[in-house]
Amino acid sequence: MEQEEQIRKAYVEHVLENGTRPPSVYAFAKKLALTEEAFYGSYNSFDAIEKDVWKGFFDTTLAKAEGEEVYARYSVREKLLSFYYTLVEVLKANRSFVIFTRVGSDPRAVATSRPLAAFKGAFLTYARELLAEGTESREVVPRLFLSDRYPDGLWMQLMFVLNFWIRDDSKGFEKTDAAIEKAVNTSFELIGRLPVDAVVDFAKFIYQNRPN
Amino acid sequence: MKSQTSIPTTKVERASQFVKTGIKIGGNYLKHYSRKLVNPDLSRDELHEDNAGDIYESLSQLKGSALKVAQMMSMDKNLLPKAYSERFTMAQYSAPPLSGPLVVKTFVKYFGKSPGQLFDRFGLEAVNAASIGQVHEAWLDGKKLAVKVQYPGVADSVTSDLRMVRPFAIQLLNLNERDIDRYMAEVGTKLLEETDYKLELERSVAISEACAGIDNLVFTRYYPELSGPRILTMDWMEGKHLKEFLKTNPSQAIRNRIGQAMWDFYDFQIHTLKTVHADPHPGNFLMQDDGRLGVIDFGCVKVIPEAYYEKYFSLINPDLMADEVRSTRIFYELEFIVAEDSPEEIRFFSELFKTMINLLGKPFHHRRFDFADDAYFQSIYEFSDKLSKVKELRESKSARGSQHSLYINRTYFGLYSILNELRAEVTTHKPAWLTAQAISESL
Repeated sequence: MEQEEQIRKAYVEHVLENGTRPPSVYAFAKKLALTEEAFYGSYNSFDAIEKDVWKGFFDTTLAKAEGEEVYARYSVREKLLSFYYTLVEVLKANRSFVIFTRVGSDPRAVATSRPLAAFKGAFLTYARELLAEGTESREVVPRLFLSDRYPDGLWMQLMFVLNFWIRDDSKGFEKTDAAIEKAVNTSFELIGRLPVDAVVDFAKFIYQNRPN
Repeated sequence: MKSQTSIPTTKVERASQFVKTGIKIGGNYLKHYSRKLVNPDLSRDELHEDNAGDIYESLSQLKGSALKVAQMMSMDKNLLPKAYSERFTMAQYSAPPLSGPLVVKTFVKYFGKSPGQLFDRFGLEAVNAASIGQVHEAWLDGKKLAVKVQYPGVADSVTSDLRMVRPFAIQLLNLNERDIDRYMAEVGTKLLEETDYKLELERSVAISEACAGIDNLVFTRYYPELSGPRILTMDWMEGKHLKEFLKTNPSQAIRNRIGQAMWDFYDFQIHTLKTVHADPHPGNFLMQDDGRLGVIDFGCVKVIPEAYYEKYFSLINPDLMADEVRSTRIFYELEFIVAEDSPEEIRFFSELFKTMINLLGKPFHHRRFDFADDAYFQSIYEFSDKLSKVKELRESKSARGSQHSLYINRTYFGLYSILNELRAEVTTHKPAWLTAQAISESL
């Protein structure tokens, strides 16, 4: 554990100072006074380090958000808002690294970019938990076929927020705050009860009670 | 509080909001003129009411500085037909709430701590909305506090909002573009200042300390250590807003006491401090049952330039008005009349402004003045209605009146209309040099 953290720190530092990855695992390990073999004991590539750093962002964010005393009392919508706000705070301290791993230039590239793989997995699990909780609290309305896509929808929303944040040039990233507020409110309007649900429900009723 | 599901933010969205309003207003005019074909006696009141409703609706969805401009216009009853101003005064009481997590985030951003860590108890649900933020309740060491939190990005949107309000202002206020730009610059600076809670804190403390000697006036205590650029913490003040207060049927003595406190507060600020709380709309005052007046929200403060002050207030003194040469010179200096004016125009506008000043200065010409005098207010409305229809004034290519007058006039109109609603009779204290020789002897 100790060694992995040391490797991650050294790697991020190298990337930030040089703007490139280290030339080789050998050179990187040597600087850390490690053998190449010892390095592979922790990580098998630079990609794996980047993935782990991103996963670390997720874990820190969730721990921080959940550590907030009011979090448990929040509605699902507020929990997600709180997660996003905490995430941008966490990422702010690592903005250069985030930009280095090149989230942002192309939204599609982001969604599939390798460094975010573990981060994505963790987020989807979290999103599913939130949605399940939301179904219970009736903030989320289950819909045939669509419900399975909700977590992916939230992932795309997160990517939107990330990209917005990367491009945001307002003081203190204030516009990102506004973007988060609006994005989350909109999505919860959509996955909540809509007028169309009432229409479908009514149509179904009429159909089932049609005169023979 | 009914929360809006979304606030249009991007420039395009905001602009389309205005376009929609424009179309609706066009429709209202169409309706008006087609009806007028049938009934030539039709007054414009209904048209104004329709327009006011539509404009208000659109502005209230925009929030931020557009809302502020609506508020400003609502105060300037002299510039707007009555129907507009009534709809607009409603603008003071609506805004969309921030989500709980965003409030927490704002705290973390400026203090590195969440509200739960800073206060013993903090109500995440806003209890009150201001035009650019919202108010939360909090408790610390057994004391109830009021915490104002600002919407993110308000300062950014001020400039672009104003640019979009501009064409409407030209239409509504019958002002030409040069006037508007000068006035807009003045309003713009004030609005930007309002988004700076640090400045507000400094000014609140300075003004409340300076005014500590005035009877029946109460201020809240501010907590600089719990305030920042977007957060302002102060003691919770008890009291009622004007409308609720009037529902409790306060006695005439109580009304007079509150009215007197308000008059003295403004008299002292304008003539002694030369720095004035320039936002006297009912939402900024809390009235207490024992006749004390609480002042909150020092967001909008106007510093009156010395040179302007002397000229503007010297007009109040009837002795000066009788002096043709001196009054004409001051009219020039205050830009009521300009160099390009023909002799007829000079005579016309001088007469017009003299009537206006006489009318507005009336409370100054008495030792005590009864603001319950509705006839007086009706004459003001009638005069301003007449003013807005004066062809010469509307077609005049020149700016009339200094931009400083904007906030000073607004302050007086706010003050007068609150006192009128309060139906208070007050002793109109004023500096001695504002009183005519003949009058001051008889007093």
